Amino acid sequence: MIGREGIVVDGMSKTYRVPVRDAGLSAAFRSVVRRAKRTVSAVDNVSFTISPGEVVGFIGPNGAGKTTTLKLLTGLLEPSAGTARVNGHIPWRRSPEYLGTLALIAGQRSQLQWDLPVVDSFALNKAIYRIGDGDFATRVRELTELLDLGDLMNRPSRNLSLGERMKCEFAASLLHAPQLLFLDEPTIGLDLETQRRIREFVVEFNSRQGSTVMLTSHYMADVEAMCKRVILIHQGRILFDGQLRELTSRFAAGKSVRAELGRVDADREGELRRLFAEHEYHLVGNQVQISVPAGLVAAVTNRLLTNFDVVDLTVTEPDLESVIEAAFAHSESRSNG
Amino acid sequence: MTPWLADDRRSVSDRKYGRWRGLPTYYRAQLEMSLGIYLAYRAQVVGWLAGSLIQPLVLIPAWQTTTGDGQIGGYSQGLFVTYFVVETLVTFLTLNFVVIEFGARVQHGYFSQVLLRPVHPIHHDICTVVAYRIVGAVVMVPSLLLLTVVFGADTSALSMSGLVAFLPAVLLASLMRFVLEWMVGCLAFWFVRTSALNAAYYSMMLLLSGSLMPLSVLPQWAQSGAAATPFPWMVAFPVEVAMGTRTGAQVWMGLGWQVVWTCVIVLLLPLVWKHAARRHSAVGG
Repeated sequence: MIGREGIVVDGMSKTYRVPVRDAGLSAAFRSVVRRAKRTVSAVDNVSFTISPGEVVGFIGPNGAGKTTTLKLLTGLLEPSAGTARVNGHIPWRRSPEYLGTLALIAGQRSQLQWDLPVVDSFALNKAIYRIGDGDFATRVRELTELLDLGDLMNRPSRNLSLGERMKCEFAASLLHAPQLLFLDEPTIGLDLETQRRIREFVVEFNSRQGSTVMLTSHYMADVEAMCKRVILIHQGRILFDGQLRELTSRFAAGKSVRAELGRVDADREGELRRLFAEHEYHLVGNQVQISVPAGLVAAVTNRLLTNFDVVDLTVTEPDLESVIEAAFAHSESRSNG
Repeated sequence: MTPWLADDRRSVSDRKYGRWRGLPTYYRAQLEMSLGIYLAYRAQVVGWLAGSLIQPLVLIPAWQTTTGDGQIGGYSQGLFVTYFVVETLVTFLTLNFVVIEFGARVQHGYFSQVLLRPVHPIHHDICTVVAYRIVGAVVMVPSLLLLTVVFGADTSALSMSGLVAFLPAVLLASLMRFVLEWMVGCLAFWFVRTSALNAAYYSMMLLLSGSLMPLSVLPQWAQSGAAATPFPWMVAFPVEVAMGTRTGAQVWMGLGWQVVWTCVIVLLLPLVWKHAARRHSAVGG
């Protein structure tokens, strides 16, 4: 099999020249004569490598450069500088051989024909990607089963709910067994059950087909369920590239100790204040949550158990959202000097 | 699920996408889909066709009144009716909506999905145009016959030799108009908002193509000026060939001009498309 080198991005940048003007009518008139423009850097000198078969989460706030990077790698955009090779292809040359190996599924865009039954869109993809009759029948059957498409296939896309449409979108995009799957906010707006189903499906698809998957999502549950590795991007630059657990250990300030106390009166509250004055803690009813630096978990737990009537106690890692917020805050404090 | 890539020797990475390979299969599937879309919205197609019949319904009485019992530019009342009936047929056979659709595609980012396919987007538009002609013919042909009878067209000008020459003329006109408008449509990548561009293009088309009047009613300098543009070769020329106004060497010369214009545009089109597709970055989507 040829063309399975994965994704290699080296110093890739994308800048735009965008018109700018002040607010108001006079500024609008001035801009007719003299149009001011400024250069916006959407992606700034990013480099990374993704091996074939890897599932990588591409995370960042709005405007960080996630979607621009996906567009560059799918050949929709051409970079201003740098290079990228994906399975041996330069993406922006958009050779049919390259385009035939990828699928981009964006939560807010549809490739299904709005007015016609879903099965017609499948038939068109069969012709576009030159899928043989036997392969097509097998894949439609398996995808229908796996995504529980059932009678959705014969309904026009416009009559499907968002979740139903997304499942059909996945099926249509995977009929040609793409080696590269780019997912841009694939679960946006979906209910929890459909989100779960889509996540499970992507994991299953990746493990069976060995396709490389790049995912952007604002739902950390997507990232946690599908990706072992994450790339954090902020203001067009890569902040972190590594395993998900490394991200937590690098940016998480500490752990969270939660305890259910047997009895909490004014004396006990005073004792809490005294013992944990140097920590951030919250007391609601008889539940206390204390944020603890990683090295002090044992000491804090011991202090709690010794001084209080503890009914239940748990030590948890901070959630991914908090870790990522901490990473972005860390980056901004560094860039602000 | 069985692992498709591992089992399938003709896996995706080995699939060949030659320039022409697989296109007949794609054309059949896309044509079926485009027909399906038009058939799903029959009222819309009838509405478009009714709109295209308004022009002859207004122009025929207007020119009949102006002509009276005499002739203008060699056209009597009956010949004006024939002219506009044939002109409506030619417009139907050459019309496409590419210029308008490009604006919407670029402005709203619809192009992204199309650009991700391993098939050039022009093939999609060709299928859409063909599907429109097939569905539209059901309404257009009887409507034109009705216009011919109701307004009393002088069909003596139509001859078998003229109609034989009309076929290549209208085919080339259709091809020429399609590639020209695809190229004009690409300008949407630079302008994004294309309503002014569209208005300018369609105004020129209306005035210089022979859609509003036979070009022979214009002063000689205007006729010469129009002949230097591509517009008359897309409408007036096939109409004049069908009506026997152009015969012999004039027909061959006209067909030659159509071929020259088409070749020039076809040679320019990949260049324009290449730069236009790069501009896609600037408009996002």
